[in-house]
Order: sequence, then C-alpha cells, then structure tokens
Amino acid sequence: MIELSNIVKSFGKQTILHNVSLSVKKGEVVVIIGPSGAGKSTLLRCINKLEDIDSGEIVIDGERLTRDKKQIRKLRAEVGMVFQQFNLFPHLTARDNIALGPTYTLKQGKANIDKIVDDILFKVGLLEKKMSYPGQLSGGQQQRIAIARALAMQPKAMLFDEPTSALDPELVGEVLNVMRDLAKDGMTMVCVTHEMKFAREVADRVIVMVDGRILEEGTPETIFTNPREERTQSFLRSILQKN
Amino acid sequence: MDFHIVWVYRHLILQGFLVTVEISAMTIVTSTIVGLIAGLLKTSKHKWLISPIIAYVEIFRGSPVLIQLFMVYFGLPYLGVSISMFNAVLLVFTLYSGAYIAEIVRAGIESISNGQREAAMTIGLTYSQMMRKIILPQALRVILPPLFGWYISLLKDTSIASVIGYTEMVFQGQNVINMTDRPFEVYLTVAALYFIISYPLSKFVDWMERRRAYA
Amino acid sequence: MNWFTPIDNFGFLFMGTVNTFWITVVSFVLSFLFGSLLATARYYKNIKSTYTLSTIYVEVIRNTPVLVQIYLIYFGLAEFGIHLIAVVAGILALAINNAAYLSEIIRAGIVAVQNGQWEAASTLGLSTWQILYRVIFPQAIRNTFPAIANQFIAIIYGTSLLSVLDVRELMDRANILNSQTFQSMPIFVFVTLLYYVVSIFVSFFLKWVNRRYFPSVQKG
Repeated sequence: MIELSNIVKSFGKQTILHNVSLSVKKGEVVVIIGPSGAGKSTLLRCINKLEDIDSGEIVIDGERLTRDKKQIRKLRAEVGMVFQQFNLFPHLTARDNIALGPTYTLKQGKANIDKIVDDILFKVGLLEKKMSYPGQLSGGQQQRIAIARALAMQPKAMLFDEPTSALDPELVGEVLNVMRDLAKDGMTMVCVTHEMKFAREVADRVIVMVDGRILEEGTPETIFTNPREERTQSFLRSILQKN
Repeated sequence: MDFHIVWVYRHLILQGFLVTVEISAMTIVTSTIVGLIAGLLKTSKHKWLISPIIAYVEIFRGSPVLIQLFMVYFGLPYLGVSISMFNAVLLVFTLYSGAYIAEIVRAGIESISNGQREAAMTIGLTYSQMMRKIILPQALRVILPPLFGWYISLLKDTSIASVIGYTEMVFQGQNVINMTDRPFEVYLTVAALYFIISYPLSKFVDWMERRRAYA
Repeated sequence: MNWFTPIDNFGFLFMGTVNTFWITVVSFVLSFLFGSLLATARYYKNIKSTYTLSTIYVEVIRNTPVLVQIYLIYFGLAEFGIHLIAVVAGILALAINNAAYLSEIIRAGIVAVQNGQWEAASTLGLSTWQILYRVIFPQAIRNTFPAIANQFIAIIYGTSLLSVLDVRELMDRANILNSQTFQSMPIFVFVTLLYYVVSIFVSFFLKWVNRRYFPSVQKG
C-alpha cells in the first residue's frame, strides 16, 4: 500500500531522514515510536508530500509519486492525515469541516454528502455536534472531528501525527477509541504516537526511529518485551517513567 | 472670528466636500481591488511574479504621495502622455493606497497558521479553493479593522491632491479664502467636515477591533 | 529629455534631503515628548479633566488631515497676529499631528505591560511617577518600538507637505529644480527614489537601534 525506499530529507544543513525505507501492507497498522527529534513526524509528512524529499522513492497503491501537482492532490485525497494540533477550520461548523473535501475534491452531490457526514459523525460518536464550531468543542471532540474530516475522503490509508499529544490526559481515551475502531475495520494506518498501551494493543508492527533512522522494527510483543537495541530499551524506560 | 462669511460661500465648500467623498469612495474601490490582487500575489509561491509586485509596493509605500502625484501629473506629459488631473489623482491614489492595502492583505493572510494550509492540502483542495474557502474567510477578520483604518487615512490623504490643483474640499476652501481672506474660519470648517466623516468611521474601526479581541 | 538633470543637481537636492532629515528629527522629538504626556493623560482615566482634554485632542487631530492642520497653523494663526516662520509652523504642525498618533501607540504599550510590574515596583517603595517613568514607560517603548519607528518614517513623508509653505525640504527643492529645468519626469522619479532610499536607510538604522538597545524582544 505504502512503499518508501531510501528517503533522504534535510532542512538546510541538518539531515532529518537518512535513507529510510518502510513498507506498509494494506490493512496493516504501523506505529512509529522514538524520542522527539527522531524524524517521525517528518517521515509521515513526506508520505503525504507536505514535505518534499531530497531523494528516494514513494509509491502509494502502486503509483510512484512525482512532483506533478495533480498527482499530489489525488494522492492527498487518497491518504488521510490527522495532525497533532487538529487544524480544524475554525470558521466552519463540524459539518462543513467534514463536507469540504467531499464537496470540492470528490465533487459529490449534496444529498450524498449529507449521508457521508452523518455516517462519519455517527462513527466518531459526535452526531449531536454536527452544527457546532470547533471553538465550541473540547480538544478530544475536535480531534475526533478532524479524524472524521479525513475519513470523509474515503481514504485508502490514514496517517496520524501524534494525534493525542496536544490533549489533556482525560481526553486521550476517546480519540484512541476512534482509532481502535478504525483499525478493527481494516484501515491501513501509520501512527506516530507516544501512547505505548495503544501501540501494544492495536499495532501489527512497531517501528523505532532514532536520529532519522529506523533502529529496529517488529511485532509489539518483541519491541516491548524483548527489544534488540540498547537505545530502544532506554527510550522505553524513559517513556514508562514519565507515565 | 466670523463664520458667517463661510456660510455665504457654503455651496463652494459643499461642492468640494462632495468631490472629496467621491474621489475617496472611488479610490477605496479601485485600490482595494489592486491591493487585494497584489497582496495575494505577494503570498503566492510564484517568485517571478512577486518581484515586480514587491518593487511596486516598496516604492509606493516608501515615498510621499505628494511626490507620486507630481511624478504622474507633471511627469507623464513630459513623456508625451497626456493625462487629465482627475485621472492622475485617481491613478496615483489607487496605486498609493493599493500598495498599503497589499501589505494589510499579505499580513492578514500570513497570520493564518500553516496548519490550516496543510489541513486544506491534505483533503486535496486546489490553491484557489484553499484561498477562497479556508484562508481568506479567516484572514478577513484580521484584515478588516486595519483596512477600514486605512480607508480613513486615505480619505484624509486625498486633501493632498489640492496641492496640484484638484478641486476637492481643501482646494475649494482655498478659493473661498482668496475671496474672503478668512483662512482660520475656512480651514476650521473644512477640518470639521473631515471630522464628521472620519470620526464615526474611526469609532466603527475601534468597535471592529474590540469585537475581534473578544472573539 | 535629460535624465541626468537630477544627478547634475545632486548637491541642490542633497541639501533638501538634509533639511528634510533634521525637520523630521526635530518634529519627532517634539511629538514623542508631547505624545508621552498625552499617553499618560489618556492612561489615567480616573483623572477626568486631563483624560477628557487629551482624548478630545487625539480624536480631533487623528480625524482631520495634516495638510489642513499645517494651513491652520501657518495661515490661520496669522489671522490673529501670530506670524510663525514657515519652518517653525511646519515643524509645529507635524509635531502636533504625530503626537496624537504616537500617544496612542505609547498608551497601548503602557496598557500591555503586565500588572505584576506595577506590583513589583510598588513593593520597592517607588512612587507612582517613578514607577511610570522608570519601570513601565521604558517597557512600553520597547514593546512598541516597531510602531514608533514606522511613525518616524511617516514623518519623513509628512515633511514633503511643508513644500506648500515653501520650506526648503526635498519636495520643495524638487519643485524648484523642475521649474528651472522642466525635466519633470527625471526629477520626480529621482526624488521619489531618493525618498525611498532615505526611508530604507532610516528603517535599517532603527532596526539596528532596536536590536542593539532592546535585544530581549528580538527573536534569536
């Protein structure tokens, strides 16, 4: 579904990603963990072409990405993205946030859109907040609407960039529940997160990134109970201490 | 002091008042169009388009409008291009005001966080859809108060057109002074007439700013 | 057509630029002092008389054109036997005008200083005036420095209006040169660019002052 090979990305003189390769199968849930500054978010943003890569190759669903604007837009329509800061459109209601993509990118009719919006709002459990503005919602609700907005595009895969990091602890659960349901439904997902319990439960594969490289990868079982690398162990220790 | 003499020549001052309102209204419309386009282009990624726009905005914000008036009104005929006084005034104030509005628009657009742009991109919107549906509606709340504040400045700045002889309110006032030799009364009356338009507008701008602060 | 007219007469135009510059500086200093007083009067809303007077002043000045203010001071006052020299009337008008704008900038700066600063300073036993002028005021200036710098540059442009009183600043010199040589376009284009260069130069200088003296508000 998603094939990354030898991705190199640098900002100025600083290289953020060194030759990163990663392959995600259809229906697979991949969780990327690692200390901050490891390049996790950058990798995610490269998949969606929010960042240009210096070299390497990205293939999504059999199609190799070029710099062609039309192709990039098509890809973005096919791959949903959820941000740490939600990035909901504050001047639009929950309904309009969700309806925007289907209206302009998928060019759906109004009746169809109403159905899509209702279905998705029901899925994330916020049907009653349909006409609310983002400012009237809690952080957890905003992030669920942001997920709904991405889902409304009927994406082939979803990217989550630390979706719960900006939330108060008591609001994390509701967002993770939505993500859990999505995984159960067979959605292809790549998540950058610090929620180790979620990773353990939901991930098919956990990837540990350090200093712009993939340090090791494996099933959650292996990574969490029997990591190969010393740096993985120390990272996991530091996370556990924080919790 | 003798304000009676002003009353005698009220039709001249009123005529000037109407011309001031007219040229202000016209340049508000034309320069808003110019400023909006220039401001939008300045935030676009097309480098080759931007440099002439930057030069235009820099020069017209970086020099007094009076010299700009002289440059166009006396300079163009020098190059063999005849231009009427009205057209010269309209052209100069459109370009001058457009340059300031371009900066207001640019600042408003750039105040919208990058996350909004990225979120719009991830749902596959085109650049123009993103601008029309996401960025501009939000930027407008930032742009409107300084924009209306600028309109007030523009209204007052049109008085400078009197220096090249454009018959707006200050110039008509000078006509009355030539006939009455009462500069104090006439200029005070002219100032009062500017105040009557400008003050309510400035209170409106204050209200807009307060509303934005609480929103 | 002679595009070298302004170059050939650069000395003449340069003297005008020098006059423009010192008129700007004097007007700015006066308007800054007066503007600070106005800002203080506008800040203390509970002292009704000074608050009302300063508010009326600021509103009247800001809602009328500076050109009319210049005419009023030069020609209007003459009606009452007050005959000012053109350059004095001009500087006075620019100072009176810009004081109103600067006072609003400074007042906003004072309002923006955190309450904790007042409390901290009063625990040190400073009087209200000492707090205002030693603690609050410097911070207000620092926070609003870019806006104050913009106002300085606005005064440069404002001085061009003094050409209507035949004050020998840059705009007036351009007019004189034009009436002597009739090389309108070369002269006015050159002088427009000259104003631009002066304003850029001043703006860089003020940015340097800001970095040099108020480093803490700068990023990085």
